[in-house]
Amino acid sequence: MSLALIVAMGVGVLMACGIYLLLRTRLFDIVLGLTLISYAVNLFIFFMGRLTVGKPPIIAGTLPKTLAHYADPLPQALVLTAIVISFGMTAVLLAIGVRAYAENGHDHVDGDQAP
Amino acid sequence: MIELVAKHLPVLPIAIALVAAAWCLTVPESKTRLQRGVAWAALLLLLAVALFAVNRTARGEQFVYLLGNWKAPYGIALVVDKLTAIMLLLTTFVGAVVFAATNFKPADGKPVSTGTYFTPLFLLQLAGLNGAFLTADLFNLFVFFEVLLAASYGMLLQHSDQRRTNAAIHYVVINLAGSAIFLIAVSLLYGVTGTLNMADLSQRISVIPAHSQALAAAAGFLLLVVFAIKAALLPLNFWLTNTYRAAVLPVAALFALMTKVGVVAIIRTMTLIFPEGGIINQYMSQALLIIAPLTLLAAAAGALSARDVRSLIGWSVVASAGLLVCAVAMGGTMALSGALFYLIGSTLATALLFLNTAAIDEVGPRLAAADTVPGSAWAWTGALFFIGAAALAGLPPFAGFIGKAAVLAGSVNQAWQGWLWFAILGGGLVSMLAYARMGSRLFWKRDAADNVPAYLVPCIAIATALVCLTVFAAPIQRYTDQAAVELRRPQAMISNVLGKLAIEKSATQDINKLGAPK
Repeated sequence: MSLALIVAMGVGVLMACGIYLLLRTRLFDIVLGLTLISYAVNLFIFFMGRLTVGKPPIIAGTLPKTLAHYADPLPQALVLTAIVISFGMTAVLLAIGVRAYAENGHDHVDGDQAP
Repeated sequence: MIELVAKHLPVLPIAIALVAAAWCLTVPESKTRLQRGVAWAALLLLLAVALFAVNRTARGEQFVYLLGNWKAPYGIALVVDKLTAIMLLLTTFVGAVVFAATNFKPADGKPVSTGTYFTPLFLLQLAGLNGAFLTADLFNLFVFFEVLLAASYGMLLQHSDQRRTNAAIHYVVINLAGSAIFLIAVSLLYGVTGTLNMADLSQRISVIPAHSQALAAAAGFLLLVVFAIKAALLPLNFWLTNTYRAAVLPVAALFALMTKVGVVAIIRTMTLIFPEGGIINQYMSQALLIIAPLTLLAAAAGALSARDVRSLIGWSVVASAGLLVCAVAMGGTMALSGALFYLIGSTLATALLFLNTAAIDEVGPRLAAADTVPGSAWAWTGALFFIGAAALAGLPPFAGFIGKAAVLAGSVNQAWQGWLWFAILGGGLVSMLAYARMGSRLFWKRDAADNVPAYLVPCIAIATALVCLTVFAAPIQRYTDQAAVELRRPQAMISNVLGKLAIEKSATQDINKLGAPK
């Protein structure tokens, strides 16, 4: 199996599990689902800069300055930003979730009916 | 001084709001007056900058700003064109009016409650909105979306009770899912074209190899899905009414701007990233020409079924987004110009209605016991409700009509003309009926004495702006015409962005010398 196929399957499985959990009615499952989706998305961004093994992202030394000899650094920077944002947003969602649990007594997403 | 402002114009609307927000955070929450002073100073500066931007772009100028002095396709570029200038002015004006409304003190001395940290959150929201209008970089657009969403989560959760918390959950979850889709679209476009700058994307997508065409189209449609969530187009609009109903009312008035961010992003997608004439643009407009009129009709049905004012206004927000996207999907100069005109009018009318509802709903019952309120204030509230409703439904003397007429005129001789006219006119008629019914229920069946002139001054400010929009329709329409022409010929903007030279300065070279490890 090629590397690309394994990676694509990884992204696909993460995404599928994430969507399944996102569609459930309990808030805890939804938070897990969104986390899995953000993992899938982060991997996807990362691999959109092409799969490279053992190549530096920063120009140095005597290597010719083309993408054939370097890893694309931009998706790595984008992934960092995306990770930070999704981390922060998940924290916000968890805080709201705890609050909703305290007020409703359960964590059904619609609040007004028990799970 | 003027030259310095002109040089840094595109970054000012973001920088002013961000600095003021940070400063507000350092002021203790108890010193409300100082916080408000800072916010007002920032708002006045923003207003001055926005007026300056409108004035200069009216002369045909475009401003490009390279953040961090990186040349265009590599760094992030900010652009001020006519569309951006309109949105900056509209955002700042609505923001100022909403902020004035939150400063209002009713007769019993208790200020309208907006909650802790309202001022910094409000300024962050403005920074996010301005940034989303200014940026010419797709990933940066994502970041600014997150900034304005984060601020809106904070404002929505003020004074949260059970209902508000439950509404907030739906709002946050759908927006997080939307962000994930946005990221997939952005990285897919990067993978296909190798760039994130919208001007550069526009050029590269037109010469894309045939085997990547489908991927680029998929990315484009994913972008549309994300912006449709923000703008609340048909299958993705169900979060809106609940959220707007739950928000504190001045905040809801501010949220009137947030759906417009989605509409502006759709305009950018369909004029700049996938410009007219391309095959992907054709697919997109065909899809939107089905979805947007359906949104209009669904919103009309929703408006009829609405039992309280807030849901009614929420459905009108959906309807106005539907009409705007109809016009964008048609894509002629006339339709686009009409859409921009209607965008201004409908945003102002929505803000007016929400603030006015605050006068009806929130302050009224609390002061009912005082019983010192003259009936004339109630009449004012009713008149303002009528103006807002008429402007939203598009009745002749008001601003909504002019935009709607231009959109209808722009759709003549289109293949979809019958369908569009049916949806636009039918939607307008039904929403007028819904407002007439709501108005008679609110204003005829209530005691005249149970209301106060709360929010009256800010409401009248918006109503005046709406009337001015009709009185000065000719110069404003000339401006939106030019804006539409500018949008339809993205070549000028593309060459401005990509041709912008980084500033050569001895200071930067000195830093480079110091920083380079040799």
